[in-house]
Amino acid sequence: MPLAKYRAFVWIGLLVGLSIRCSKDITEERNAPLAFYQPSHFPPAHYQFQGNAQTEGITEIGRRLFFDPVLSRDSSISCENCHVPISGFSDPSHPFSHGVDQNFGSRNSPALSNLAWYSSFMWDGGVTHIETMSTAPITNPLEMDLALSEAVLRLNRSPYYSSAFASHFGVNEIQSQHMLKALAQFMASMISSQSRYDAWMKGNENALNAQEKEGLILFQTHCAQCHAEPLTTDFSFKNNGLTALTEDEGRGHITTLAADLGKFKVPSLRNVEKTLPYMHNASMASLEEVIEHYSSGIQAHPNLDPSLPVGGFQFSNNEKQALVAFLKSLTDDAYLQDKRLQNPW
Amino acid sequence: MKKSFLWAALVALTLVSCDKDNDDNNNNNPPADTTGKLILEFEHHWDSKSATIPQTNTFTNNNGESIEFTTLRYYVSNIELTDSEGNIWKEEESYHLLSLGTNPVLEIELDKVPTANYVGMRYMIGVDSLRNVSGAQTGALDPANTMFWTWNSGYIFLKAEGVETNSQTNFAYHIGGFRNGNKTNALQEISYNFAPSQAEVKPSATPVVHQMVNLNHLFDGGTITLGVLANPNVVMPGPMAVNISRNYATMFQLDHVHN
Repeated sequence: MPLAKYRAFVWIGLLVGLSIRCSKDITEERNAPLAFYQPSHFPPAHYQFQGNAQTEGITEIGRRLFFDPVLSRDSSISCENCHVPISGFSDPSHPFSHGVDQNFGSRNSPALSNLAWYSSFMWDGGVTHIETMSTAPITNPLEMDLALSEAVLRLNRSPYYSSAFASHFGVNEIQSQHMLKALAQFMASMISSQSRYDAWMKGNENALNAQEKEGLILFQTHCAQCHAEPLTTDFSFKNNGLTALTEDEGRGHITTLAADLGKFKVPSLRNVEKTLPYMHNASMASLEEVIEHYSSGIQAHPNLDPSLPVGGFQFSNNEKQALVAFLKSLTDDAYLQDKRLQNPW
Repeated sequence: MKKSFLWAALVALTLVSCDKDNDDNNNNNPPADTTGKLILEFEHHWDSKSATIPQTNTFTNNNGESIEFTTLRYYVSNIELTDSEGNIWKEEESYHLLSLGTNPVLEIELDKVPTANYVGMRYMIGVDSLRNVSGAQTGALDPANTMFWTWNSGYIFLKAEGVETNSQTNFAYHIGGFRNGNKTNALQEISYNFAPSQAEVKPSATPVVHQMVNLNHLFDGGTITLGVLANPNVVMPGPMAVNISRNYATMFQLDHVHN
């Protein structure tokens, strides 16, 4: 065999080997049972499963609960109705959360990912623990409108749940605690860490193109004080000048402090391309509108965050496009299409 | 055949639970011959009238409003006893949800209390801040008991609901809050000095600490004079909830200890 041919053969062999290796890594990850993991480029997670040791079986019960309309009063909607996986677990079709009897809540359904890193939940941070998070939408009259006692009654009557909880929690009678812990195990396993931005963070210089890198630098200069990397939120509450007056008390409703009126949780921007509409009041339909707000629309609310200039940053058109391009690099298709995070019923 | 099977299952269950108690004794608690019980009694009344739900007496508050309760529930937690030598015994997992019904007297039975002469006690009306933020709870703290705010995580320490019957105005007082220091912290501590009495706990005797709980103090307890017409609903943490909690802290009065 001529040397050149032999060389080409080796190269092809190497390439095939590499691609098998790559696809094997991904396949292995997605075929593995769904579980929390700590991405190497993330800070340590807040939720450490204290008193709720994660198992494959309990996480699966949590997934079933998440996608089960049995947790709404008239069995018409599940968590998925406002948290659609392919839309980054947000609701693309309604500006506000959408409940039983065609009721609407008063705020935009937030996108869900990396929940194990949160120490408070909801736009106003009123919920302080991932295990009690689910009680809010389940019992809210404008959302699922189901008393927890009734939820537990239904689960105890269900052959699937009574046997699943019996085998994985070792209990004869399901209590709300078991339901909430199972939901927490599933929610804490919703980890988005494989976007092109993540690849860049982990050292792959080519994961972002030139425009996206320009956008990243703008992002780091103007946005990352609050949308802190790598989770793209510092979990704080800010007013971002959407309106000059307080139309929704936000954080102030929880703390009763005037200084918190009109402040809302800084949302994570992971998968933001897919999580429209934007802002707590769903007032913007596109990333371009969002960037335009920060460029030219920031209003002088009394509690406006000091890092934001009234009137906006005055970005050039190129800068606006670069910022949008960067934001789209936060899309994590592996997360959005992860079968283990989708409806099992 | 079926019946005997059920009985066997019951007996088996009983045995299992006995075993568990023994384990607890071995691991954590002193042996039974050095412990006893103590009973806390809460006798609900409105001044000189006995209080029950449904209500059989008419209650008039200091605003001249006629009060009829439909719900009265509250948490008693973190119970501690002090003995004559200054030792403090703390009940483990000390969370009790009391709910007034047809009997004006509600009871909490403290178990495995070390033998001693107790000279005082204290407890909280409400749930300590740590437990408010510790995830999904069970037992008295099960959020399904509807003493939990789901939208602003935290326990409702005391829930009083009913109607002002002259004007047919419903009232709802859901009092709680543990954030921001004194601004929204509605946790109240109750403490008693039993002197000149003592509660003599021993394996053969169960003393009773009898308290009177005057519901009139919810409306007028020295901090504010609460009127239903002016304030029919206080259902979230805040300064008003703190004021009402200061009022109801004075509902609880030691009446006597009997051995």
